[in-house]
Amino acid sequence: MRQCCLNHQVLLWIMFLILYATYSSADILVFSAMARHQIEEEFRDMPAKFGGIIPSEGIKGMAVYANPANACQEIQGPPNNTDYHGNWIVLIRRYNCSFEVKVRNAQKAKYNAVIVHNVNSNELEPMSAKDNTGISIPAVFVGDVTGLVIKENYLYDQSYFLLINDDLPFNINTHLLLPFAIVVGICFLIIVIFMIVRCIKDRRRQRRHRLPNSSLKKIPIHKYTKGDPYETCAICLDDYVEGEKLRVLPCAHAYHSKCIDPWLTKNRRVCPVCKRKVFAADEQVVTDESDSDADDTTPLIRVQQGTQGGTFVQQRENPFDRARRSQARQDINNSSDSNSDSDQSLVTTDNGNSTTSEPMNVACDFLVSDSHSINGERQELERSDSSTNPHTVSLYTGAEEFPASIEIAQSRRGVMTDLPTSNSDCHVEISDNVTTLASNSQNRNDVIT
Amino acid sequence: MMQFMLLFSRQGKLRLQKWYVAHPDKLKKKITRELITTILARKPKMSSFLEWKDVKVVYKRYASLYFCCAIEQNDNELLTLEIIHRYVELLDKYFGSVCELDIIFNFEKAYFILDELLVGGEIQETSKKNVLKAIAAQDLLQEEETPQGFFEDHGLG
Ligand SMILES: [Zn+2]
Ligand SMILES: [Zn+2]
Repeated sequence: MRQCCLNHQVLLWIMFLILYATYSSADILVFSAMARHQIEEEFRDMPAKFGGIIPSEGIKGMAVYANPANACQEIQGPPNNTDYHGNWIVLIRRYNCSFEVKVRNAQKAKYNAVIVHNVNSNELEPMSAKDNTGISIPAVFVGDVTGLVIKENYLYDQSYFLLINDDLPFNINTHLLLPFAIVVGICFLIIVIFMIVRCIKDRRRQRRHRLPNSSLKKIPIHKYTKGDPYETCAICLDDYVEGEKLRVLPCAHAYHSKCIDPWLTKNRRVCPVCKRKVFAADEQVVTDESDSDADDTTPLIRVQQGTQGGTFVQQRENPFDRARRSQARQDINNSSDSNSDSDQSLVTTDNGNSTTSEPMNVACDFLVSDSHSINGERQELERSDSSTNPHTVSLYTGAEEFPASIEIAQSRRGVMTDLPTSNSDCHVEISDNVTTLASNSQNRNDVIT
Repeated sequence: MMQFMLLFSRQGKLRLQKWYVAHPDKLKKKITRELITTILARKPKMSSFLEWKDVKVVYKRYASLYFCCAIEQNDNELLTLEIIHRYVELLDKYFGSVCELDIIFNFEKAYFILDELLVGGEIQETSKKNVLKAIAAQDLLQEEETPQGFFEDHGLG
């Protein structure tokens, strides 16, 4: 958008320059006698409405200041003490008589062209005559300053030629080369600025896409040994040799460390094979980056951010477990006969599934149901089939019966295999205990009652 | 009750769709098209909830993918957002750092997971573990059914 505006401005400027060059054209050109094709100065003039027409190539001649200056009487003819045989141009002051009289006098004195200069004004006025019959020489009108400059500097005795022309001569120097140079210069400038901006942007983007060295160090290096799942480096196509350092990217693709490191740090932080972005384990991902260049290989969830979209904050552990444990700890502290064994039992059985086996040495009642769901994870609880009140489990165990309490936990898992709803982890892990189910349940019944 | 769920990319390509209400195909296409243009036109900082026609739309962008659900007026938007996130987490757990390509190439798995999670537009299983277990069992079954070397025999391996 801004680029577009800039271009428009530049275009306007160029058009303005061209117009200006066209309109500021001079109609009287001053040449030096020495260097015939070099224009010394240019003046604007206004051709008269009468008299001869200026030929297309212009009238070139030497200038003479009229004597008398206003040319209301007969004037002195061109000087004849020079060896110049070209055209003569007479410079006449305005006022005192009509333009017609001045031009007729100049023609009578055998001048080939007339320049009338204004007095005390630089305004150009078109000269007109009541009767233009017999006037064959052309006349032009110039301002005060122009007349003065010509009179002072460019008369014949200073060896300058004047060229009066109707139309702009094709002056390659001022009218084509200059605007062209300006246009080219502006274009060049724009290109340069554009390139610089692009370059800076690219640099910044590249730097963002590269892997910083600090993160590279956090990506694990693996010494290759026979039997590893990696075979060939996809970059150098060499088979791995025993003891070579391999860099294993988070996508599980491995390369020679010396092959992949330059790629990651100097090019882009992507795996060359699968195009996954490479992030070190603890690297914070800039979130606005995912806004701009998330493509179809960008992971939907960053590993580092636990929950980025849900409404709940992820709980490290089940809050009920935590509460229960703190409760148990309190109980242990309160009871005088607490010992290291009970503490041990806490550690061994507290895996988030058990509610019955924790406080072993105190009598406590739990209200349990078959299963419930806390924070999305299904919790399987014991179904106490031997008790008359299935939801109340009472434990009276001493510290010396601790091994038996371990069996409670195991047998509980064993029982669960019978339940149609059970499909939690415990089932899978301890399924080999099923064979000892009978004896275990026997044991358990003993303990519970 | 959720009315439908759409997954589409940032380019507006539909990746997944699940309808829990019956509509003719023509209407489904129209809804999909209109909803995608509506959501893609929204700025990142804008709300994830919008009232659209007679439903409430809850959407969330994950990297290159938009997850979009339409729910009824008396449903809870935050709960829907949580369902979306749970689904994404499930996909992530199943595929391992899931990206859009995974869903493109294994769309049937994505549907299976969604079916485990949602039934008839209501949440069916809140446990991620259970869903993944069910999917794992399904995969195992599928593997057993496909005879080893079947593809190789037909020159597809
Ligand atoms: Zn290599
Ligand atoms: Zn890779």
